[in-house]
Amino acid sequence: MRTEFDIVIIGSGAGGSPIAYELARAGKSVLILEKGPLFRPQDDPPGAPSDYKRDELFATGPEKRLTIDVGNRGSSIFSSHIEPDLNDEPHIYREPGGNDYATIEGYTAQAVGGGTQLYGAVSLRFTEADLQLKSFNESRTLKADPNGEVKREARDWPINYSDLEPFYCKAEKLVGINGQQAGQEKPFSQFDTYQKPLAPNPVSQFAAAGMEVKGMKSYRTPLAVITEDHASSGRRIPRDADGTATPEVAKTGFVNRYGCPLGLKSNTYVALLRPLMNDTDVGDNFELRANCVVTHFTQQNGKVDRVHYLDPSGTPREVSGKIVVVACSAIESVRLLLLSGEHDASFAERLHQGSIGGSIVGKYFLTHAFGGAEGNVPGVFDKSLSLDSDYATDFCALPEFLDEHGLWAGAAIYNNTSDQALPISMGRTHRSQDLDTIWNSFVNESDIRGDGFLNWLHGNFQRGLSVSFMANQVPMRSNRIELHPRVTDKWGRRVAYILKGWHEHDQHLMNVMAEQCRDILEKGGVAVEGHGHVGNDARARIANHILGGMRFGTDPSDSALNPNCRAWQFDNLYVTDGSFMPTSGGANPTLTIQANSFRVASHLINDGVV
Amino acid sequence: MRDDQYVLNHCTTYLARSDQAPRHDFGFGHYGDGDAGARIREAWRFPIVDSCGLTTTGKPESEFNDVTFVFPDFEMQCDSVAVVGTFDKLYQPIRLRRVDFLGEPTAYFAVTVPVPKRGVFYYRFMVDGEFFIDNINPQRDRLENGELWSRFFTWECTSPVVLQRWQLGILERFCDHILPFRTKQGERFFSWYYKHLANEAKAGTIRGSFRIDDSAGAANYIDKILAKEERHHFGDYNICLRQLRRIIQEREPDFEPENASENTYVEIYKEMAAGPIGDVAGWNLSEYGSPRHFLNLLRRHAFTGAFSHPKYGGNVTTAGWQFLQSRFPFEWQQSLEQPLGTSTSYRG
Repeated sequence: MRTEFDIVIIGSGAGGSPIAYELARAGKSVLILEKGPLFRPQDDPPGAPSDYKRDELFATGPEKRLTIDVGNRGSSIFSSHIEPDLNDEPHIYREPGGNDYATIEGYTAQAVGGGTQLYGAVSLRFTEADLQLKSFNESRTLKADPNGEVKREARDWPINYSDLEPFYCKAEKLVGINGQQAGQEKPFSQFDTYQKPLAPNPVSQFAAAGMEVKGMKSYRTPLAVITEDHASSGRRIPRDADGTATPEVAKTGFVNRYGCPLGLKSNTYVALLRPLMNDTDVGDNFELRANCVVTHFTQQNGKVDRVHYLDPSGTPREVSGKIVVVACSAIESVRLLLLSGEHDASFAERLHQGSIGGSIVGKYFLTHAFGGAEGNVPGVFDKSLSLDSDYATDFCALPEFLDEHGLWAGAAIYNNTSDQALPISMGRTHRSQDLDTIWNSFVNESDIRGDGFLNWLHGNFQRGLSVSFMANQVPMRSNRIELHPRVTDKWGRRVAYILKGWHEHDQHLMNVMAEQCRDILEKGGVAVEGHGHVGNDARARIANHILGGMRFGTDPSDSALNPNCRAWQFDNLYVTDGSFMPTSGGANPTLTIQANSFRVASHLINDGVV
Repeated sequence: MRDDQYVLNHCTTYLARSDQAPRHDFGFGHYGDGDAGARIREAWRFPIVDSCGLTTTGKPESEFNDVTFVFPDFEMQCDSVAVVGTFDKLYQPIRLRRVDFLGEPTAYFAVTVPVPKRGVFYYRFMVDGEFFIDNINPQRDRLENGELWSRFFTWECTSPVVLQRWQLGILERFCDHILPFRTKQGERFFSWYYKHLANEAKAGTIRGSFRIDDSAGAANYIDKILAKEERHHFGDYNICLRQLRRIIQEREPDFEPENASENTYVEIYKEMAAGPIGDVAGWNLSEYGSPRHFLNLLRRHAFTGAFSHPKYGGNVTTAGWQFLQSRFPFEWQQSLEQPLGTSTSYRG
């Protein structure tokens, strides 16, 4: 069993796989250690059925009960088949009343591919301003910021949009994304980065109409689903009996929160890692060890010298890499670094030194300011034959819009096509706020029975349409990831402890954006049932866009990573999942994480780091 | 044949751990003291019942499940592990192989066997010549000869596994009351649908069994989930169905509870839904503190059973989905594997 590599990467999702792809193809030996299983699509190996199914009970499985000694002990929990079990490895957050609760929120997925297995695949770029929010706001007047904290805490990324743009192009091509450039407020240097979008689901016409009435330029939402044969990954669109490609088979409703059994959704396994494994030029230079939990690192003189992990039997093992890349999602990456510090005092000393006002590791944890509006369209449409979104607009990221509302940053807005498109998903998410409260409303509304059930179906099934916004959250030092003082996982390791709230300006921004979403629906002829945002959720929702905590920057006293995502006090330790972000961007983050990883890979190769 | 990677993918997250605390004992009394299953995440997943890859029987793969038996040996003490069961010749043990990781032996023995769908089966492991039940799988039955065997069932199983006929009868009535199938529109649909099925059955073009008196198989689904995924709720159903039988009998002594009048079920449903804990005349709260809590559980199960994939035992012959399709634009067949659906690319 090989124990020495040029690169050891922890995590096989959006942050880790692009680096593996580039470095292995550059002739370096690369190992990925992934905690979760290697669930494979159909015919991998040939003839085998898929490990992912079009089965609603895969997205949200049977009920379990929480046994961990926290405030919501005894409550029902439901999770996807590739999310962790909260009784084995919970995330704990502190609710405003001061009690600790366990939650499934904040986990992406534990499987090869990470969050890209379950995501809805919306793959938007950030805007130029998203990466320069300190500079952008210097001379602007902001509302709901009485103490000037927003301007004080805003940070520019140490790279600008033009630095990242070539890697956006690379990611869009190599990952396999369909979409439309025209209508976006982001510059593209190459015209051919997207595959052709599929025809939109008819229900989305109401969102598009609403955007048009409001004067919002819209475009087809970029989605990481291939619609044409994808040469770089070797994926082919299924053919019918006549040999004609049938890209429409990707429209199933089993997209968001489902792994794709046909490999059409562009997760990092089918798009990047499997091609590596099949590349004879790469050969043994690439290894993927699934079902292996990294427990900690040790270091010598500022260099991580050993990566310690447990193999599938739970047997401790070690490997070493000239370069070590941590990319196991923002919360778990911070946790792994903090746990390493518990094992090795010298590691902790290096990890935490250099920052003003105490260690910055785990601080400035971010999610998205997120919300939207939902309602019922006139008529019914088969939403089960759809991808996750059809139309998006950057209107609410335009400087004029931000000036009008006194906002520090903008948001992407897009319609959700496939939500509640299948019967059980409609029942379990009926009026639910998040993954912790599913089923609550349906089971309690006992009038939904018999004729009442039929009426409820007629009022909701295949009629719902929602529009969401995704906006920057104000960075706050008090929003942070720590190790929980008491709760441990099934390996006896302290679990992640999430402390997070919202700034007053976040609330203002989310109110403005939610109103815009409501307006889009109303102007599009939709009977709006409600609008709101996560800032109204008293339980400090964490959501699945988990970012920050190891932000990069140019000043070692104000950041945990240098501009190339290397930990300041280590010579060979890089962090490339969403934790590197100093601000969370006004769009879904996965594409930006992938683009940045391609950028870091380029640095490692072209600057002779390894 | 499933490869070693498949076995590790379906074992590690559930079985590997150092903490031996009963993290997965939800406190419902479904695990005895010291039961190894309480330490294991989702012990019900074992043996692993999955879609069938390839069979050598000449019959279509859709008629089989791949069943992967797993025997963990974390102490690495066992030399030989085999499985015997009613899915094959009882006198002919099937040997499990030691699963490798990067060319080195792991803690897991495993073997995959194609087993027909819609069946209930019993098995034991033979470890270095001695018989043991499966320590992971919580499904066990004492057979007529008094011996304890491990049990599993394959997809689309419609034979009762843990609930008795009278329990299923009462459940069907409540599921009827909750679900939309006994409405005028529902009955119109099912009248047509079952005639259609009967014709297909005569023509031999339909698989499996169906019964006109159940709510798209929701009660059968509940039987299966209480045997497996939500075994911790078996106690809720046992206690509450016993209470409901007594209460129905008190109100309608001339009928078997499952044949009591619609009005009785309507009234009891209303009483179960009343207030924060329910208010059912005759309910023994000291035995079960909230009939409403049970109703909520039943509502979730009934809904899921009626509209989930038929492999779980409900939505028999896709009746729930076809009902929805009769009322709404819902071309579910396009996404689903044959023979349930019509997808030519997805095989399930």
